Amino acid sequence: MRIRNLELRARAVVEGFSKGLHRSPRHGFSAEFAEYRSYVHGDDIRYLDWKVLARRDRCFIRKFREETNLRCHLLLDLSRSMGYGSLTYTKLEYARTLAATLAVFLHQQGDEIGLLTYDEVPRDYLPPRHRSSHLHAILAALTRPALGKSAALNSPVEAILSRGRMRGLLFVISDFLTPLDDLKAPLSSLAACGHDVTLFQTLDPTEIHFTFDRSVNFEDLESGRVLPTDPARARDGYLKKFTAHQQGLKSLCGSLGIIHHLLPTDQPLESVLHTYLSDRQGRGAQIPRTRSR
Amino acid sequence: MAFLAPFFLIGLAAIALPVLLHLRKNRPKQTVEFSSLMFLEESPPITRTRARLQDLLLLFLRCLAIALLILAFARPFFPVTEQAATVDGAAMNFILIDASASMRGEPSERALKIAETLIDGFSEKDWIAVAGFSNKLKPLLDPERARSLAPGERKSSARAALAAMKADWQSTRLDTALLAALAAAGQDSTLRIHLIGDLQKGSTLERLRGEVWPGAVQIIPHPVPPAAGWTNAGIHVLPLEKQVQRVRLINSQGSAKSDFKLTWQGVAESLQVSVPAGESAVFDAPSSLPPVGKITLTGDDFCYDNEAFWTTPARPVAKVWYPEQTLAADPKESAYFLNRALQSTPDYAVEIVATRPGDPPALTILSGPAEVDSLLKAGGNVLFTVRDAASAKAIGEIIGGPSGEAREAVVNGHALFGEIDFKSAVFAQFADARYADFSRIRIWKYRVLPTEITTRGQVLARFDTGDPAWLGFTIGSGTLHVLTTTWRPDDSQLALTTKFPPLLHSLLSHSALRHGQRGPLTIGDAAEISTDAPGIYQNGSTSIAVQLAPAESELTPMLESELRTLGIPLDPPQDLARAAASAKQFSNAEQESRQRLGWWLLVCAASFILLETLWAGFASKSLTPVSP
Repeated sequence: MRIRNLELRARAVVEGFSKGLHRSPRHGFSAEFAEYRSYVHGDDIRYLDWKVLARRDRCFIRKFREETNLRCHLLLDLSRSMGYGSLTYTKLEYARTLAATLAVFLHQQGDEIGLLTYDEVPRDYLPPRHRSSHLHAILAALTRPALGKSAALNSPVEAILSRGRMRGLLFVISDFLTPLDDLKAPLSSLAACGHDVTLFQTLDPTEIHFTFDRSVNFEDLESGRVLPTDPARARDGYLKKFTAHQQGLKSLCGSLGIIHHLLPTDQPLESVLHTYLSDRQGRGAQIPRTRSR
Repeated sequence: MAFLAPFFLIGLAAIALPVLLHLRKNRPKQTVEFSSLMFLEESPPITRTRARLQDLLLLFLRCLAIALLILAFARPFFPVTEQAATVDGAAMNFILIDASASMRGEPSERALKIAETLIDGFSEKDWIAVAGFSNKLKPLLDPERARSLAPGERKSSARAALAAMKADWQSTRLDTALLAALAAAGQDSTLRIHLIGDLQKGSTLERLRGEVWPGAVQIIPHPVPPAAGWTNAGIHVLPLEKQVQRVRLINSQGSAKSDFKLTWQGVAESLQVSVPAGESAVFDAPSSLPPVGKITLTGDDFCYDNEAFWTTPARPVAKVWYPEQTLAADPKESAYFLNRALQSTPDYAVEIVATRPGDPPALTILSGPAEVDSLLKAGGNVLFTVRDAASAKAIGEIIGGPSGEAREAVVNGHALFGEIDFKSAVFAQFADARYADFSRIRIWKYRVLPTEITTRGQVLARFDTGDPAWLGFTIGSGTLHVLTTTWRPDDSQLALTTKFPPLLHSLLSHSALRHGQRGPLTIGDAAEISTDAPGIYQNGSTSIAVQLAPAESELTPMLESELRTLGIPLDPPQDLARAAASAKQFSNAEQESRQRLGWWLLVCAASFILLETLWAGFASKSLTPVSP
């Protein structure tokens, strides 16, 4: 966070890792063979493996990993809770850097990137494109302040789905400090549509460990509610509820095939992204997304 | 313990304020923003033990400071029975009435009325003494006699004493009067000195400085101030200067007007003068003035100091005994130059005689042995010019001590005056830089005196060689001056310089035996005749003018603070009509003011507030919530 300019910061992080971030969920024309499957009626005979047919007298269709120009959406939470930070920077600044890093990286790979910022309602929507001016527009949109009173994922998800059923990568960057019930429906919709969804949860260390030690009035950044609290007494209850929320989120993501990645803001973004990438590669392909053409 | 203003104790209810504030303080004051309260449950904070203890101490300090402050305002005191201080519960009321010149006429009548009212208001059991005062205390009913009177006679005797009261022409010596009254009253009972007068600034107070007043003495001033818009100026004749009469006009600080008229007796025209308030000015008399007369000032409201008298005393003769006067015709001798330098002045005539006169001469000039011991002891000035080395012996004889051999100094060309003590009376007139140049006086010959002689005197001037040129020996009340050269042309150029006449006249004017002209005397100053009013008195063939003391013209009332700074135990005058009814209250107020408990309580309250501030600062620093 020592670099003020968001683009510079993003590019500096990108320099740190250069491995491929994703594989296309589509299979198609490419040099890389994926698998065989039995021919069914209606398949394009162009993909029949004639050599196997000649040798074994059975019809197989060859499938390849498709390397396409990917459509990728970045969803950034702009609710006020993202403006919290006990360090020299806020969660939102951390999240912006992450979003910008991903945008720059994907742009460098030649992918189409779109951005959707949201709080109670979707704010800025930039549909996926691949132009250098588009990257600048995304970086500019990322600098908007967090003013929303809450973060509702429903409407942005609907907005994305309404733009077409074309599958793609989806990064949701938020603190996800909302009831799990509110997250379930939109995440399910995304997963059901075959999107490769990753949740980046940015959290401040004090939110994770609740390290307050003096009696103060806590003021909710989103609702403005004030709660006089003795942290010594409230800590156990807080940590218990917080852990339950995190576990609930994890299991929800697990059940929907969504990657959930926790980003404590006191950890370097570069190393966190490395961890994420190695996790992702370890997982291999996501939900079966092979498709014959 | 009793309170002089108990209604202030209602304010003790204010102690509840810090208690309420401290109760409120249990809730945390600091607000911290947090991203979401969805995992937090309300848990009212409990004040920690240490903080609570600190708060309790703060609360205690605050309550204590408020309580002390309120108690101080209620003016507490410990009641002490008055019997301890008085005999039979009676007090001595000593009425002092200003009878100085400034009280002549209407002010004196007002003062007497105040005194009568005072006497009416006194308790029957109190003693009453009466005295007038001007330059001294003039008892009319002295305290000793007052104590011997029966209670029924006391007031009537005091009133009778007032009838004998009359203002004179003397100045006001308040310090003398108060100290005399204190001594006359004794200290075996409570003494209340009622001071009735104009309390003018011209009164003397010097003797009261550092005076330790007994605890049972109160001084209650009853001022008789001049009516609003008053003006007073005084006129006083000064000693003759160059045979010219001069007067000084003094306008009081509080005067409203500044324009006056001066009329000299025997002179037709009056002089219009303007002197601002608080200032004085000196005016020369017109040239055609009769030898004896009166000057009158008009234009102010008080006439007691509007007349002053002058006389013209004959010009005194200053005799100079000079044994070498016979050589006055020889231009090579000192006498030739002395006769030309010592001429008569407007202030005195000079007569130089060769033989010793019957009256002690003002100045004796010698260059050889002579019997001058009695002269010196009487205060005469003797100038010894060392004509040759042998004549130095005579100096030893005059100072009655060692005699050593003087020697002729070896002068290379000429010597000059070097170091001169301009602080000495002889040379003081040359101290100004315009006249201090002695460097052009050449000395061809001088004598070096033996150290036995020089060490006994004070060297007032030295030659540039370092040898003493002028020595002063104090013998009796007179002075022997020794010039180690002479002003003969063979010895030095001294007689040819402009320094020579002033130097000789300086010796003459500093002689105690020179009978100078006497200016007008102040009333009571003339020893030979009784002078108790301004005017012209005849003492044999001599006329003496007597006038009022100049300080008496300063009629501006002095401030109470001036008296208080001298440590005088002042009490404000009480309403006499209610004096008896409020006797207890008066006594309480007196006790309260003496004990000064309230003052100490205020000091304590201030200390506690300071302590509380320091403690609160310390506590708030150590208890500041730490943001994560």
